[in-house]
Amino acid sequence: MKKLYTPKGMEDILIDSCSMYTKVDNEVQQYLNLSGYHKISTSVIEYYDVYSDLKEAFDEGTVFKLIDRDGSIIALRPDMTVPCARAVSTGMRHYPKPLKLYYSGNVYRNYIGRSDMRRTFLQIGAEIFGDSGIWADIELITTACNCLRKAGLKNFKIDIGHSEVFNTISKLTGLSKDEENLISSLISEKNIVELEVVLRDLKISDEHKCLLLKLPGIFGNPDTVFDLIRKLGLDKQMEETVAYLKELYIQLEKCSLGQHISIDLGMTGEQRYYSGLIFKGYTYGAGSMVVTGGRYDKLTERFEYQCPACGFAIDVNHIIKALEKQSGDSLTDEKVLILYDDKGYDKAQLIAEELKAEGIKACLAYGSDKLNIEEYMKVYDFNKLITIKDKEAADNA
Amino acid sequence: MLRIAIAKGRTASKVNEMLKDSNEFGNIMDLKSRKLIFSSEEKNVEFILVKPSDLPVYVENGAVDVGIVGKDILMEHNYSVYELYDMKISTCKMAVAGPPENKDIVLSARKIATKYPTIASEYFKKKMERIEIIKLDGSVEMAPLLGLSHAIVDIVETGDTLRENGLIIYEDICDISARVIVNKISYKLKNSAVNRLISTFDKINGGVSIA
Repeated sequence: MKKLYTPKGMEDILIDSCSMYTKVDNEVQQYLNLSGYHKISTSVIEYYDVYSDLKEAFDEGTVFKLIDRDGSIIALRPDMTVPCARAVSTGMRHYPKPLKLYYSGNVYRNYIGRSDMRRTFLQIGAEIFGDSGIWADIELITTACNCLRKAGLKNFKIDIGHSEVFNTISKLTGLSKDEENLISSLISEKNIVELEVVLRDLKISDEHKCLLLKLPGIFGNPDTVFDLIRKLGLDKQMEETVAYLKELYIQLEKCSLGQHISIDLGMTGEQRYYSGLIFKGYTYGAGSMVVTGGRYDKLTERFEYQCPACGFAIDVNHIIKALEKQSGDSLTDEKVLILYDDKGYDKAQLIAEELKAEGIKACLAYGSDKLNIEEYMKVYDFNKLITIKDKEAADNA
Repeated sequence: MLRIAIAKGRTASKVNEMLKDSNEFGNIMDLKSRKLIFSSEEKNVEFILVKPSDLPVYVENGAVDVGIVGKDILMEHNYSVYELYDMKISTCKMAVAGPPENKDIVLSARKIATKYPTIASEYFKKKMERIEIIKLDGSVEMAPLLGLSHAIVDIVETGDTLRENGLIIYEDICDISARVIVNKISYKLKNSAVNRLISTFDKINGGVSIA
């Protein structure tokens, strides 16, 4: 009976939900296209080697792996950024920079053991290659905000952080790689309880311990957070990072995005390839992040190419979840059902094409006895009926 | 509305007791009733009683904002939630136990019966010891008595159950207590309410939490 179902975490997206997906997908893609980003479509299957040395970001167990005919390990892509970086590093080196790309496609994560976990996600994202300046970061956040708006979200927040906040402390205190990984993940998980226990036994200065312990709690409204930071008395290098975030915020505020922005210094870049800005967007009703992004200047080095880069990915599933909870009544489009009989197909077809040319949805149906018109119109959201037998109605249309 | 899920049983009654003097969170639950959801419109708070092992799933998915549940549950599976506070209640420990005669038994792979296969296998992996896990759902003490396993990994509170069944503790794995976990989005969007809840607990515990 297995053939009746889909594997765990996979699903058929049926018409109602699929039309929501398509709508969000179209709106966001159209916006990115209008903004001059170029669409690329990378391979769904990659060599596992593309991901194998990024274990902190892509846990080995959560990558779907297959064995190719020649024995090499191949993988269903768990993200789109790494394939984009690979594609730019190989086929698009000679393109003038900055190179702005966007994509839309499914990624796959082999989450196991829990019934509630999806294993495939539709992601739409944008990447800017070859620009390391602050203005690229600002453009990226602005673009992400506008994409969320185009997707239909009104109330959302973007948390902004910087990978160098933690990295600087780590360097200053000389943490070992293992300690660094553990502490970094405890901070980003805001696990203050365990963090306290781990720090207690660590041979670093009390000031740094205190600062590391405070990091998870330094988030919220930018003005409040910057005020809080001023009182901390930071090392010079960290001051520079904070100044960078402050400048970002000032510029975003000028673009009237201030109400969407908050700061979170506790984002340590769990995905270790971040090398600067990190941001995450969330909203009521989604339960998880709707967008994640940041800067990863070192990523292309793995593909023997030096090129600074930043980007974001929007998780469409979570946006749909939020939209379903947030919106009361969505505007329905005009949708016309055109009934024809054995003689009327040519006429019906003509009327339908005229309507479609105006951007109105028009669908043909053969008026057999079996068709329950009322039910059919209700289920498929038709709000107007044209019967071809009725000459006047046809002429009026 | 702040939705708080509490692990049914001991943890729920302790939490209810701790909150009884709180204006904002107190006297909302009636644990004598068989209801599972208790809400207070005026205080804008809702308490939900949930089976411990299910609780993190509710929090992770944002069906509730906050959860209070034992560390054992959080250790057994990796949930994407913020773990913010140690309630210091429902304290006990995770331990390896078994009959005295099996204590120093040397085998290529000991059989360990447990409700916590992840915790058990992680622990022995760290010790570089090969074991075989037998996953059970309850009354794990029985397994070594009937020869199903050599030892068990389980929660030990007073040690009475072990003693009555003639088992002794071989080694402690870690301390366990109830923790406050929070949905990642809720912690941002309902931050002040979450912090008020935590500081209510913290005042009762007499500590100075940074949250």
